[in-house]
Amino acid sequence: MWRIVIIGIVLKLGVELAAESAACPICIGFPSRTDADVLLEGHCVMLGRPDPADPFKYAPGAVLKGAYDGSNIDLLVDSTTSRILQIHPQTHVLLVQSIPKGPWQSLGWLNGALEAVVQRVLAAGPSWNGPDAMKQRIEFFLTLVGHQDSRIRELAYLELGRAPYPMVRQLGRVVPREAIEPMLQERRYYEWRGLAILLLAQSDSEVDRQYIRESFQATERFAVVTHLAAWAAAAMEVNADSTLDQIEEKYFGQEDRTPEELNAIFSALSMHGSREDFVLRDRIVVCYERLLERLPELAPQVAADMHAWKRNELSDVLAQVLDQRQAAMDRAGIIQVQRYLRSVKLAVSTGRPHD
Amino acid sequence: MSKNFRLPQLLLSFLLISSAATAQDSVTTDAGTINAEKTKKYFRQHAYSPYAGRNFPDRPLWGEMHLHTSWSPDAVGGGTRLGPEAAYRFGRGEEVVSSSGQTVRLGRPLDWLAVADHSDVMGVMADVIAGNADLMQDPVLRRWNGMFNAGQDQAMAAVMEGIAAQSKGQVPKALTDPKLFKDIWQRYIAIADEFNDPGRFSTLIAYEWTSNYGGGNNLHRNVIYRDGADMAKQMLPLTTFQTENPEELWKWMERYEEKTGGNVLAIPHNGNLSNGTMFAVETFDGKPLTKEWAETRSKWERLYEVTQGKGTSEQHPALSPNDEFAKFEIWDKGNLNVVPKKPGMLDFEYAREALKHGLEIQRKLGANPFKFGLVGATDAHTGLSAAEENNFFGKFPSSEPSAERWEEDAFNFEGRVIKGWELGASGYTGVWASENSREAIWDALHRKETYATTGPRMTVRFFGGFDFTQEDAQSRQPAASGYTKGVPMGGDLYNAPSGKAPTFLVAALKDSLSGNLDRIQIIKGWLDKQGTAQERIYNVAWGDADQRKLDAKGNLPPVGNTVNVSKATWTNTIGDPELIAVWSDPDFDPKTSAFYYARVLEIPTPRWNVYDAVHYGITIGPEVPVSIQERAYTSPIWYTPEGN
Repeated sequence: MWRIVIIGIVLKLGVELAAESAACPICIGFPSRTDADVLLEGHCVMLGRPDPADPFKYAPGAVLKGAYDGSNIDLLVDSTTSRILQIHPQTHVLLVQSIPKGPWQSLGWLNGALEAVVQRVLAAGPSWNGPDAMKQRIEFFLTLVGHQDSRIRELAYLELGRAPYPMVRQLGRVVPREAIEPMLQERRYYEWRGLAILLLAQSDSEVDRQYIRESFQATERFAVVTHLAAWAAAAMEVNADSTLDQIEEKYFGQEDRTPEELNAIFSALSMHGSREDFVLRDRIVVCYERLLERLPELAPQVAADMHAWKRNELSDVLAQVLDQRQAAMDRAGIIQVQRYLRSVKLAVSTGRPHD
Repeated sequence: MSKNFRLPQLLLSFLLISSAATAQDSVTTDAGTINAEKTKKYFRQHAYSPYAGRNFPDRPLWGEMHLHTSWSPDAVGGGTRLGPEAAYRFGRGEEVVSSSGQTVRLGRPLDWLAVADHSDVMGVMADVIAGNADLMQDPVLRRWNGMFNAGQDQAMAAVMEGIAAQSKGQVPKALTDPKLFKDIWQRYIAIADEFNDPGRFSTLIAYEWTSNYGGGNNLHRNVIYRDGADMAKQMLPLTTFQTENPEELWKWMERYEEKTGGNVLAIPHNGNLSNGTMFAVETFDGKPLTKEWAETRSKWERLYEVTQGKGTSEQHPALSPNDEFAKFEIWDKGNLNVVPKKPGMLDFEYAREALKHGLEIQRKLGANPFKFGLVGATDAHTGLSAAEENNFFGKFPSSEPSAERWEEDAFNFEGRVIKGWELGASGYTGVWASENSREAIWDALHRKETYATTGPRMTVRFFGGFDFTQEDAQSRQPAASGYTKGVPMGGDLYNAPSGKAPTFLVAALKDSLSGNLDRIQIIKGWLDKQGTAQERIYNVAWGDADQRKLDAKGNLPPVGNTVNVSKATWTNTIGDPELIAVWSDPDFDPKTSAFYYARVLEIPTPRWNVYDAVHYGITIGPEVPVSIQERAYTSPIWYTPEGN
């Protein structure tokens, strides 16, 4: 359970702006799906080159996955791709059809390195199943995160962004600095920064740690929501005690904080609180209580964490929230809180741990 | 004499090209037709000076009408800090410091300029940054002010918040307050007035209406005013908060003219990013076109932006596979959000195809909605109208000169990428105006006496009539002949006299700072007997004529290429500095409608990325073109037979 929650939180760091990304002319939108998703979920994956009879249309080539159904590939061979394919006669475009007889999608032209990665993803992907699927997938892409080809590098980065936070902490020790530097420095990768901030937080460099402290303070001072969760989580990596002090003073102590800010702070607290080795969970539980005073809408998420952590302290508070706000809560949220309350009740009555 | 030393003499010759003769039977001018016989009584003898009494445009005035500054929200979000004042100063030839901190100056001043910032939240972010006292009452805007002024990460966060707020419809109310918009608009047009210096540097009031209907389909229009601030201030520009329907923009234009007595025209953005919607042959709501619709569109949209930094949209090679020069600075991946383009969309995006559709629609409805002249612009969002290959300052500050800009993503929407090198250093508009004034330039735009170039300032004349002879191309005064015996670019020919085909007088003189001329082509579109539009390209004049001959199909061998990539140089040892010809349509059918426009090609010269490579000492990928055949496109001349 905790893993699912954390994956959701980490994804949120990246995708919180994804809905707006299509309208952003000055940065690269954070995609909700990676090319690996498209390949692995696709019905047919095929190579293509311009049709000699009509150089602005694609002719089918080697099938890499599934079977070509003979449908029309209704894609224009754009001029840039056409030029690249002329310069590199052995190069192909990667075509994907998601469903039989469905429309085709181009994933762009393939250089040798990218074609090799595609082949490897298609070969290894089907085995990414079971409880270790995430670990296997992350390990696969970890080897590519410093790749010199920008498309491979970006793909690997997006895949690593799906790792649960404990794994991100481990990755921070092995991901090369040059792989995250552009994400932190370049304006066009602004939406991608969430993971880079978390990875940077594993740095031993005092310069990096000071940068994180200052960035969190600036984010707090200007009431910025974007990447607030990541900066808060990173600041807790640098110094959990003092960061929690700041959070309590600046976020819980100031009335004008927005629900979006408090949501982001909750994400950061939840990430650290869910770590098996985190020693300040008691403080986070206290923070949660203050959070519920400010933003009772967080009751289901708080209940989920408390349930996962097998902590009883907030049962009265959450029962009160449920009592007062049930009408405003959705069914899934009500069930989440009720489940926690039942679990606490059972644990108290039987003296056994939570279910 | 070596070709390299022919230029001074030819330049002198060209000055004569523009001169008038007074001994013609009549002269057609801006003011009408003057009959020589009738005017004789006023003069004892005609003047010795061939220029005395000249009353037609004698030189093209260079400028553009699609430049963004920090008053456009996407520009300021991209880091642009140059406002309209800096843009005008740069345009008139002053040195400025760009948003990336680089000094920059034009090789030659422009004659005129229209800053056309987006009307949606125009200027408000610049006001937020400046700390406008009224705006600072709003806590969100006060916060954004702090973030912008904190710089870097916080400024970017403010930009992203602004974008998110706009896309969610949650823009702080203060920013959409009509009072604020009115105040900003009045300041914006006052700046244009302040920099308007007739005779030297004219400024036209303009704004861009920015419809991205359907998720990034670019239906933008630049609205250009003939008027000064006194009239322009009487109505606020249209925004896409009000409507994304271009037909509503035409209504707005009509209301403006009725209310103020002023004049405006709209110029569609180049259509290559519209995914088949810019020249759709149905209304915005998907209904069949009507004669009234066609007349309304052609009334307000008299020009088309055929080339700019985001590609050139004269014609796509898929639509004209026999046009060896159609494959030029093509952007055909998708729309503004790079939503992939499908083959059928191309038919409704490119100038030539639209001109052809216009003939077909005219035949069916009796009116041609796509009867437009051609202009070029930069669409730069840097405040810098810099369309020179060796002085290209990109689209946004991120594409201002750097060693990396060629390979960085200019646009990237979820992996659908347009690379920096795909940006073009284009373009400008040559306007044949009778004087350098706001009104005269607008009048020339309105009568389509304009031509687009991809940056160089070659001089191009194009006249159509029925009586041009080879002597007109030898007289050294073709402009006088042109205005006397025919109509200039943008004009109309009707009802061919019996037995006569249209004749065209076309002349081009190289840009003194750019390459020689390869050739002049005349491109004809017409309706066949089934009412379907056809096209054909004729080579009518070319350089190195002693060495290059037309083959049986009218094709010409390539001019060659002298570009030295390692030095970013070329030599004018191929091509010619000037070309002139009189051409008669050999395939003319007097019963069918047609259009004709001239395309003037330079010899290959280095593309902007080659100058980057030399300046920064970098190697650029093999996929990037190293040379470019710059070109000019004149507005068409239409032929309409009797009964149409």
